[in-house]
Amino acid sequence: MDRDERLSWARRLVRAIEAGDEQAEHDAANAIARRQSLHLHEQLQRIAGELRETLCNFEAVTELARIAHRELPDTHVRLNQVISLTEEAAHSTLSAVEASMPLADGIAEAVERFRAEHALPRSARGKALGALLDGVAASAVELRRRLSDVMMAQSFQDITGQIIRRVAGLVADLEAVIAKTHAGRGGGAAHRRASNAGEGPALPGQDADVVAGQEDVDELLSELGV
Amino acid sequence: MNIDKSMKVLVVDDFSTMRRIIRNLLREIGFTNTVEADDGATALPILKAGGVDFLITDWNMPGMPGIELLNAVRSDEKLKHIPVLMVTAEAKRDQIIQAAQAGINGYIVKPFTAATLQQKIEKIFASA
Repeated sequence: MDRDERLSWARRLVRAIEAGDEQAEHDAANAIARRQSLHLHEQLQRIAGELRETLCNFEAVTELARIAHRELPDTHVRLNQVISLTEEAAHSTLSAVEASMPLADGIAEAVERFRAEHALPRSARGKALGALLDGVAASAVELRRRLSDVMMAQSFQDITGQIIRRVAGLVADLEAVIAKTHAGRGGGAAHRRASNAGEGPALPGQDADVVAGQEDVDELLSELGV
Repeated sequence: MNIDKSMKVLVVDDFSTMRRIIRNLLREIGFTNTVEADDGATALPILKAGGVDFLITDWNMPGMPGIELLNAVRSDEKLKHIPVLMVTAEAKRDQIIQAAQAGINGYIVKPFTAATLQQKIEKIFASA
């Protein structure tokens, strides 16, 4: 309702009172009152909105702080536990592999020694024994190769461990920032990784300018004269 | 290939699993004289004590990273001749270039194979 409209209603009200027209006076007074209440209503709505937003923010910050204090340190511990458990498992596997490899080698050597010390007869039995020894020797070599694969597969612990450590570091940073924000001192800068610290394993399709594998590395190095 | 298999090899990696795997691979190739350290800071005193002929190091380690260990080795008169092989998950081209400029002798990206390790070691000592 603009000024002219307000003036117009005011004049109508004055005229109605002067004229003793109660109905007109009532209508004019009502119109002015409605306008006032409309304005008040709008203001109330705005204040309610702001209040709601503030409360939501407060709740969000409180919730974040709760997570930071209770859940995040826990996450850190859990992630470290994953590293310990996989490390333990990888070492158990490596111990088994290290104990098994000499057995495979021993079998292959025993077959070789037997062949060297005993000329096998040309009989059917001799031929069968020869075939058996060949089979055992081949299996021993294959077993050795598979054990080597099992050993190399344990390098997953290093790769996943590096990734988990990085996430754990991120969680710790997040925790520090939230704790500072909640304390009302503003978000502090989380500790930055030292420039030479390394990036950790690359994420396929995520990290830019990353070599695709050892062949790429070899090519790059030969370009650099290494 | 005429490599002195009795040479002393220092294996530096923060993951004990990886150190164990590399030592196993070295043993298979014939290198049995190996020592370990879990980062650059613990590796340097071992290097300075003398007797290490070959250094295999990871890059990303808490404490002193491998690239700084490489720089420290190359800037030390008594150590700078030691061949250094980087075995790391760091795969950015910039990092490989940085390592090459710092004087690396070989660079292997994880995960790697036993054959790759053998091949790189042979290459390093063939050119030495």
